[in-house]
Amino acid sequence: MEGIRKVFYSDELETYALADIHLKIDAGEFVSIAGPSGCGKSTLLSIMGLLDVPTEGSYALNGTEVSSLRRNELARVRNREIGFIFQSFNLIGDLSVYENVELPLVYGGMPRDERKKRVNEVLERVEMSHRRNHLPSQLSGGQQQRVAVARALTTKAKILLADEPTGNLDSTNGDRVMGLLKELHREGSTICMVTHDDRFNSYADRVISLFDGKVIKEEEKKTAALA
Amino acid sequence: MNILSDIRFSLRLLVKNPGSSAMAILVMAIGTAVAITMFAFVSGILWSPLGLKETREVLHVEWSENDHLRNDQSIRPSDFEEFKRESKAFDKMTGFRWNSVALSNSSGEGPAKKYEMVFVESNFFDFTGSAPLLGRTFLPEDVTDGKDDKIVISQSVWEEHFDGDPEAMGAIAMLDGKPCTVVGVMPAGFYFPSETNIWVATHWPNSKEKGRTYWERMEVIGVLGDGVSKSQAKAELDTIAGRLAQEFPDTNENLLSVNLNPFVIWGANAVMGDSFQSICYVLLFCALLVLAVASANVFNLVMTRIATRTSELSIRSAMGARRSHIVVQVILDGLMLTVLGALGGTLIAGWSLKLIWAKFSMQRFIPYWWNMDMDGSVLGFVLAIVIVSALASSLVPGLRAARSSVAENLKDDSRTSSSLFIGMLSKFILAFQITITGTLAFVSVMMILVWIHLNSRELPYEAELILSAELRMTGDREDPSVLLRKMSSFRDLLLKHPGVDSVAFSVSEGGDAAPRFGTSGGSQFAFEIDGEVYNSDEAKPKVAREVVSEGFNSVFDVEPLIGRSMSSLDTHDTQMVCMVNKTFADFHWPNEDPLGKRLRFVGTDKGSGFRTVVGVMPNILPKPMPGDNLVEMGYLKMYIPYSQTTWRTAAFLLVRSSGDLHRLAEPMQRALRQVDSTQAFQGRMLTLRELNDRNMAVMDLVFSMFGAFGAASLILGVVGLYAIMSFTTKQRFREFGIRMALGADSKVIMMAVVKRGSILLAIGGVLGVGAGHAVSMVLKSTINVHQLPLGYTYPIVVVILGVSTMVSMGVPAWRASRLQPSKALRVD
Repeated sequence: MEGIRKVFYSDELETYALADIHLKIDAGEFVSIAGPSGCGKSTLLSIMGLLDVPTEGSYALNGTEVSSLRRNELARVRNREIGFIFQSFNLIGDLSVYENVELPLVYGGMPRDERKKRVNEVLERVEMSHRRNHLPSQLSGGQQQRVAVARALTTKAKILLADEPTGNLDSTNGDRVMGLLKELHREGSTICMVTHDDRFNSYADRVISLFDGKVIKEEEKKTAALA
Repeated sequence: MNILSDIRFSLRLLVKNPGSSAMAILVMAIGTAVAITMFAFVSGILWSPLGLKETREVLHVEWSENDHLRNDQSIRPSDFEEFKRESKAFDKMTGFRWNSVALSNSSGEGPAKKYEMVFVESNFFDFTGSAPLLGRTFLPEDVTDGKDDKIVISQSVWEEHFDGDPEAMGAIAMLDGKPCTVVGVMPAGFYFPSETNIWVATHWPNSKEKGRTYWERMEVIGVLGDGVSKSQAKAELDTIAGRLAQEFPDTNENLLSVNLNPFVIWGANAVMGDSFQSICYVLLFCALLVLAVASANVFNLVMTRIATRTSELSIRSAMGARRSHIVVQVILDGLMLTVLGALGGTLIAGWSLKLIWAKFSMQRFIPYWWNMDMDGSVLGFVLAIVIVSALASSLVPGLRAARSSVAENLKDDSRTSSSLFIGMLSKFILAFQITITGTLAFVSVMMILVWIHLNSRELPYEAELILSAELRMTGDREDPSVLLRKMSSFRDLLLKHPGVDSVAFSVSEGGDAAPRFGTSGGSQFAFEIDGEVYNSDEAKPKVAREVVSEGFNSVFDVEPLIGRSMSSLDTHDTQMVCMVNKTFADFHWPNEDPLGKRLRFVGTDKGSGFRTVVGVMPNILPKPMPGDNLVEMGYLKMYIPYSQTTWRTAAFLLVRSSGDLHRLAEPMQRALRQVDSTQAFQGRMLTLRELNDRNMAVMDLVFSMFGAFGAASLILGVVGLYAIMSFTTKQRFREFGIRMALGADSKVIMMAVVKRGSILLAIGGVLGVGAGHAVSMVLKSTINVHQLPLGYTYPIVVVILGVSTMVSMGVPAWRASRLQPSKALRVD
């Protein structure tokens, strides 16, 4: 990212959510983005995940400048290369656990049999196979977030973006989800996580601190990543 | 509960949501406008009171079958006398016979003027209960004293002809040249039985003396006694009819039962065509369906408004509001929308009714009791539909809102994306709305296609060059030759006038060459072809008979295809002749030469023996519609010469001119006075083009109403579907954000929107089109259309519904597909 700015306009007011962000994240890195509420963490993650576009600056993902991509090409990149985990889980309430996890594969155009195999694998991995036919509303918060992790894994995307993945969970479930992320990082995934819980920063290779839309500190934590 | 603060809050909601408020008000305005217009239309025509002192229902009595001697259903005076004498079911009965007369002053000089008149019994005004403005009504001795005829005149005749002179009672007036004594003046507004200005006292037994085969017939009306039902009265008259049929088989053999209908209904059908009452009810039903669609729309709009008010209503509950308070809050919201919509609808209906009345005023006769005012009954209807629509659209949503869980609503932070308030009920209402829209769209498209087809038929003559004037010039009652002499003189005088190319007379308006709507092709007369054997009278063929004079062909600028046309040389002393049209010849003698064929009418023309076909006329009616019954619709024509009938009235004059036809009015009046100063033209003189327009005015009205209902329903359907799709799509924005984050592209998002609506649309659309097909089949006979243009209707309806769907679903779908995923994910 080079010179990324994000400005929100409301009435006659301009709010700078991000101001002049320069950032490089390498493949296989586990980066934690920290900072107080409203500092621009989620906005930065949205731009990284191609859910939003910057007002200014350039952003290259895997060497490709994303501003030149059209709407449907962005969708394709999101589907193939990025997995999302949200604080509020963002499962689709009218779809079962199985269907929620299957969804990215459907959008990716994978054949049905293959999808079935892949979904079963990831549900096994997050220990949610026994709940495959349940609706999200029938699950606890921890279970819903495990389903959300499974959904993020299902396309085998190399980049995982997690926005406060433990924010709505108790400590046991939070640890369990972080354990899963650590495992995925070990297997080679690039993880970028937003959190304001200092405990979980220790899982990251690098912690980027934001304040008022600016990077105020970058801290390498090589040892923690290997823990 | 403070109702005023609730009303204030509802008004605030109205302003706060201008888009949905305006949509709901527009929807209700369209729905109520259609319903109010049709209610006022039907009420003003079919349910208006006759304005008599006699407030009980006046029934009209007629034979249920045609009297074959007269070819109509009216009743012979001697049969009426039997009914009146023997019937116990009727409290009172009377009879009358319509006519029109020229009224002039006692010297018979000066201009005469034509008026509608009726021959009535002396008890006629006792029947109606009406008192005169001046003088008296009839006494029994008025019809038996052997002196001048006694007449009662309307206030307008009194003012026009007697300058409103109170001393006019006892004055002599000339009716068609015959002296009559004025005995009374009826008050303004009294025109019973219909547009009548002169009432002549008549003694029906005079007619009886002339025998049962005498031509005179009458309209019979009655009022039932207390506690007597219509079916009892009908059974009683049927019994009397059965006895008469046994006693007089020559005249009454097939007259075994009667029809008893309210006089206002019979009058409407008589003026507008046999199926008019049915058409009115079908139109009213369709209008109420449109209102139902509008209410369904408002129902869904209120539901969506409640969905956005979930938190507010829950907070009210949490603060201690009772269920009834919540329900009232929601109903007030619906009521506010409905009232404002109905106000708009009432205004639109007022304008529509003025337009409709303008169409009606083109008709030849408008019964005096018809009106299209926004009177008390219409305003009562408006109030009723406001209450019903408000309750229908907001009671259930209110109850649902009051029943929902406060705790759940307050903590609904959308951890998952499913919090749709729009449930099964809304979907059902939407499916109902789509079904009705499909039904009305189908019926409308079909009707409009029929209308276009009817209007696009070319007339095989130059309608702008022919003038038709109602004359009813009479000859001496006992000597038809007097009339023939008058006609001949009048024709000669007119032909001398520069610009007049040809002149003819006919018994039917416009020579029966102007297409009509809602009625079959006039009276059909049974006839027999010489040499053919028929098993019964019923097996004998029928034909539309037109009595015309010499010059008829010239007026229409047509030459006989074979043979010759009418000639003044055809008289009672020469061979009895007739002409037939091409359709008749092709129908009866497809591979034979029609010339020389002989045929004769059953009953009425019996005495004249066989007529020989001397010519075949080209058709002067537009081409039949596909599937039309050529016989019933009057396409088979037989023309017989005036000079070989015993007719004593020249009913209509036809003049062809290449100049300005309406400038001929004055010379025509002058020529008529020269021939007979007691005669006058009646009503407006119209070109055949104007006559066509007038005849088709009701058809235009009926079809344009169907078109309007279809369009209104379609607009409501599109608005309703758009509103609901727009709302449910907004509710799914967060879901779409998730899907986009997972890689869904624009197409997938659009499909996700469309998929949800398309199942409902498919079910509703198929049901609607099916119902539309069924309704069209029922309507087919009502509008006298025998073959429906279904081959065109189906594809057009599919395209219309498809485009409507694309508009109503496509816009929300497109908007959803353009969402920024990060914004969509932030939507609560």
